[in-house]
Amino acid sequence: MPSSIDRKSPSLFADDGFSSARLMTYCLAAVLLMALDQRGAYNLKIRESLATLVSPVHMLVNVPFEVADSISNSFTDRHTLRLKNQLLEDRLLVQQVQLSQLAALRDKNMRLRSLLGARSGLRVQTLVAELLAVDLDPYSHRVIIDRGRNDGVMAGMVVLDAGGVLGQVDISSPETAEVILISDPDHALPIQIARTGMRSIAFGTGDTSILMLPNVSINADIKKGDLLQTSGMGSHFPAGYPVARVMSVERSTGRPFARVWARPVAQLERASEVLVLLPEPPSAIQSDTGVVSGTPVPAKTSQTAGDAAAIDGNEIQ
Amino acid sequence: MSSLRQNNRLLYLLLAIGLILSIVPLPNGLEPFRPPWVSLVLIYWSLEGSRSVRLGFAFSLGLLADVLLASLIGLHALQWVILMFLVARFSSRIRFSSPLRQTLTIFLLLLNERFILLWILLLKGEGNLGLELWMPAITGALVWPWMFVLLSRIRQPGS
Repeated sequence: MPSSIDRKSPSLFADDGFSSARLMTYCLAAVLLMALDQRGAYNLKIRESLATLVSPVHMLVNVPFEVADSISNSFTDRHTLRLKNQLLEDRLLVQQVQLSQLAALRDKNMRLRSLLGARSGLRVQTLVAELLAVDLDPYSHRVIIDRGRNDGVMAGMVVLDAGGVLGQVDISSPETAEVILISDPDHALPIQIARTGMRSIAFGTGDTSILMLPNVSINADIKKGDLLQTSGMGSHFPAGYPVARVMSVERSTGRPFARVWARPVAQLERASEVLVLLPEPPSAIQSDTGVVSGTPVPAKTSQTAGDAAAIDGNEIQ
Repeated sequence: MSSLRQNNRLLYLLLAIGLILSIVPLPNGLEPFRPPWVSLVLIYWSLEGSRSVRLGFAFSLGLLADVLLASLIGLHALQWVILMFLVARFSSRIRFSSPLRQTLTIFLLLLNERFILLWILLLKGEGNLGLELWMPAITGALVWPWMFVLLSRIRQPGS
């Protein structure tokens, strides 16, 4: 195909000065857009409508994997299924015992709280979601889940996996939502050391297996193996969910702060099923019924108490 | 004119496939080796198509990819605008060099793209930059000759 065919639009590069100017313009525009995006200057509406635009593509890419999954599920042989069933039943038994202990503890906690006149713990609804089989930019530390605004998932909600906190919903479109992982260098999470109650902030490092606590004072009581949990400060994350375990504490004389590294307890790289915490609307908390009124209840929700344990929801607070 | 339009349709199809291939999940551990499909398609089209890919087009495509991949908005736009500028500038030299030299040039172009990414990531404060940052340039250069032959076959079934 000779290039002379296209007479209406001559080659952009006929004139050097013109083309470099255009290059510079586009580069500047791109850098400006990136700077704005980094600073979170975009209106949430714009981001959400953009996400809505591409969300069908994400779901489309996910389809073959879902089909393959269901096919391999339906061809699993009896023996494997029975083994798996046995395993799950065992685990259920163990956890039920633990739960009954927790229920007793919770009752006690409630009584003590009411004695103190404190507000009883927030009840939280959870929603099971699956990660879409989509690989995003490896340096953006984001995943896509298959629940969106239609299921009540909104920006800012906390996402957990079986281990602990995974991240936070950043953008929600009608059918899917984008979750920013706690490993993103932009992400900061208010935490508390479970053993001592000391508060700090955990920053993502870009590495999915490392979080950093840059502002722990040098003589703070923190050591390897300590569990970090959400402190509930900043009111984005409810308190008490496990976040990470301290890997190493580096105290060097001459610096006012110790450098603390921790490993997330959630499987940031391998999670496939997650829980989204839907904060209960204030009206429902006041009405004290345990059942959400007024807002549509998503299909797969279950009641849990604020302390990470799924305790049956009939008990009145 | 109709063949030109057909050609454009092929370009859109290839770009769509490229975009899909860049989000299709790869088996664990292989993700860093994913070739930069869209960049390769853009380079091919700039070299072999009826005219160079316009910067504005590369820019808009980049924005689309940024939304799709959830990367920083403007990152792919920047990468591809610069890529298309370089390819158009040196297209005659790249087009008529030996296959080996051509592949080497493509490698350098892709490497340049990774440098842009590195620059942005460093500005962003990303702490986990290993060798895998450079892998797409290598796999892209390895894929290039095969893709070149395949796409040429598709475009001109006779020859």
